[in-house]
Parts: sequence; structure tokens; C-alpha cells
Amino acid sequence: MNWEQDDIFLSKWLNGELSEEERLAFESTEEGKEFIQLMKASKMIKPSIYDVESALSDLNRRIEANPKQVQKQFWLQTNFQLAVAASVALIVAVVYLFTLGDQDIQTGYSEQEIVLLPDGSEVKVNAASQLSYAADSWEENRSINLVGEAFFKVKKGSTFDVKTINGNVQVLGTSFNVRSRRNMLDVICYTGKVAVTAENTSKQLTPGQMIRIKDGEMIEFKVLDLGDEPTWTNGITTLENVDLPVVLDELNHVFGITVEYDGSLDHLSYTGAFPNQQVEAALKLVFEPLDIAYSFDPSSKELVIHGLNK
Amino acid sequence: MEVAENDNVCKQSVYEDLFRKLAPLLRNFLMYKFQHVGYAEDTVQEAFFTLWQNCKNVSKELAKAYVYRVAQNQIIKKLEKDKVHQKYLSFQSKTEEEVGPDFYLEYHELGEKLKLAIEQLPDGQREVFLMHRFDNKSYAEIAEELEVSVKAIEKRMHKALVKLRLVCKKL
Repeated sequence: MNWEQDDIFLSKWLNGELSEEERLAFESTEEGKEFIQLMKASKMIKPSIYDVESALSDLNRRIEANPKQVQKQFWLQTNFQLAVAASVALIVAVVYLFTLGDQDIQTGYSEQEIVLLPDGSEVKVNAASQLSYAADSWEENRSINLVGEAFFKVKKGSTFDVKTINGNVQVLGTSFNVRSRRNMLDVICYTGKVAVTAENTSKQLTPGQMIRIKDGEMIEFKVLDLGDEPTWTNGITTLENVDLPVVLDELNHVFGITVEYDGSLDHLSYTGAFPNQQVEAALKLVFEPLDIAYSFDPSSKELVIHGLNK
Repeated sequence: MEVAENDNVCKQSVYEDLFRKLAPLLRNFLMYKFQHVGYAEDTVQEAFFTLWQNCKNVSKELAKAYVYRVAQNQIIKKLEKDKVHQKYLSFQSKTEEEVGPDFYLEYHELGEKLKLAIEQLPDGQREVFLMHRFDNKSYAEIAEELEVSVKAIEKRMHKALVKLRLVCKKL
């Protein structure tokens, strides 16, 4: 039957995209009749009611009770390497001056942001990441929630905590990179000392050491080519022995591309680096070593993974 | 980057129109995807509150993308904090008055089965099915909101129907 071979047959049927002949043939079969019954039955269900006007008046009350507190100053960051600065789409530094309450910083695709914390510590936030902290209690409690990836330069002082769903990182004064994506946490220590804890394990890192926590297991690495900062702050994404889904996520974060992929190559792992400004070069650098066939449409930014090269 | 004053969303009437237009769809979108009606509705409020605080930096065209992105980030954070949350889709069956007695009699039972079957769909298929059936969105609109290709949406919809039929038969 058509609907068993063609993997979008039923979608076309629902949308009235079948030819009259195809449609009649399908709808006269036993299965076709069952699908018709099913679609009719779906008219018996509706989502629960949402009262938009009362939600709006709740929101307006909240807005009146919380006059705007956020004062931001924006300027373009210029001290990156010139070549990179010229091509990075938008790198904006944000300074939160005398702000109160919870701060929430989010970066979109292809976007990086620099955040200055109340004590002068600095955070560079990579694409598709989110950072939040309580500014009003910052002096007593230097604690940040992170989803995604960020590089921290922490001023000396009380304990500084970075919390992620995959584990926590605790430091006094130091610089370090945290990447928490999917089920994996990577922490690299650049200067000073860093303590990483997850579930039952804890580990101290010194400069040049990296720790990876994946599915509760801790693995230690030595970073040979450390530098002062992670490469992504200079427009290059480096990935070390990561699974294909993590690579695809990074491509999505950096270039804002969509990926069509059936999940059959999840076991492949990748080590390498790609430039954040040249999508097609990056795709080549990632997929050629892995021997993966793909196609990419630059206008719609759609990447399709076909499988391994035959 | 600030957006020109007549293009941003700081004006009360512009902001309220956006809320009326986007909030119900965003709430359903979050509810289908994350299966929690309470979180979905709270998150809509928070996303629009964030939009208000940043209204100078958001243009009218980008407001939808902005609240969808903020809302998804926030609801994921909430769900991470509350790992054992109850999945709760909050569907309602239509009453006899709404659909007429004949239709009700014929489809009430299958409708109840379908409710259970929908909850068993994988996340991606469920959200596509519900957005298409209940919010009357086209495949292209769904593709845009979920940031995947139209072809991927069509595949998910097809798979959803195949699975729903099988589950309903077993129930």
C-alpha cells in the first residue's frame, strides 16, 4: 500500500494533495477507512480553554508593580582579532549597571555576548546559551545558572558557583570554560583552581586540565594547546571527541541552520574545529572526515544528512 | 541594539495586540510540546513580561520569534528543576451540544481512545499533530515555529497517524 511505502503519504492525504484517483483508492481500503474514522474522532477533542483577557490583565498588573529596572548600555566589542571582528555578525557587550533583581541573559543563534558581573568578573556567553543570576544578592552569593556554554574570568573573592543541569563548578578567582550541552558537561581550567561536582563525584582542576562528565561518568583530559581563552571567543568552534548529535547542535547554534537527520549515526564521534563565519567550509570540515554524505541549501539554511558515503 | 521607536513594541496598544494574537498560540505550542498546562501558562506570562522589559530592543516583526525563544528556554529550566513532573495534557472532550447527538454517539468512544493515544506519541510527532489539528496551522507554519524543514514535518505527521491508528486499535 502507498501509505506504507511513502513516508509522507498520510500528510499529503490530509492536506488534499493526493490525486483524485489516489485518494479514492486509499479511502476505499480497510485502513483508509480507519484513518478517516480517526480524523473524524479528532474533532471530538479540543485543548482546554485559555482565557486570554484575564491572562492579559494579570500581566498588566505585574507590569505596573514592576517598573522597568533594567538599564543597559550597548557597544560593539572591538578588541577581538581584527579579521574575526570584521566578520562576526554581531558581538555585543552588555553591561548591567546598578541593576536589581534577577538577571537573565540569552544569546540567539550566531550571537555572542559579554556580561560584566557586579563584582567586575567577566563572562563571555557563546551562541544559544542562557545565563541567570540574582544581582541584588550578588555580594553575598556569587552564583550563576548556565544553560549552554560560557567562558568565565572571575575576580578574587568569595566562592563563585556555576550551576548546570549536568553538574556544578565552584571556584575562588580564576578563568575557566563551561560547556553544558545535552547530557554532557565539559569544564576547562585556564588559570587558578576549579572544583567540579556532579552527583557523587568531585574533582579539582588546575590550568590545562579538562574534565568531561557524561551520563554521570567523569573523564579527565589534558589540554595541550591551551591559550588564554577558548577558541570560540575568537570565532572558532573546537570540539573534542563529541557525539554527532552534539556536533549538529553546535552547527545549529553557531549558524542557525536547521538539520534533517534520522538519528542513525548517533554513535559517530568527532574531533576538530571549524570557523564560525563560513558555514559551507565548516560543514566540509565536519562531515568529510566522518565520511558522511550531506546536502546543504544556503538560501533556506537547511542541512540534510543522508548517511555514510557508500 | 535599540529598535526605532515606531517599530518597537513599547507602545501599550501594540504590546496588548501582540499578546492577544500570540499568547493563545504560544500557550498551546508549549502545552503540546511539554505536556504541562500550568507551566505553559505561567511561562507565557513570563515570556511576555520579559518582552515588555526589553521592548525597546525588539521590533514588531521579531516579537513572535522572541517570545517563543524566551518561553522555550524558561520552560525547559522549570522542567529541569522539577524532574518528576506529572505529564498533563489537559484536553477536553467536546460535549453532545457542541457536536450534535449523532456525531457524539458515533465518535465519543474513539475520541477518548485517541486522547490516550496522543499522549503516547513521541514529543516531535505529538506537537506536529496537535498544532495541525487544533490550531489549524499549515505544515509550512509548523516548520517555521519548530525550526525544521517542511519535509520533516510531513514525515512526523505521517508517522503520528500511523502510530495513532495502531494504538487506538489496541486500546
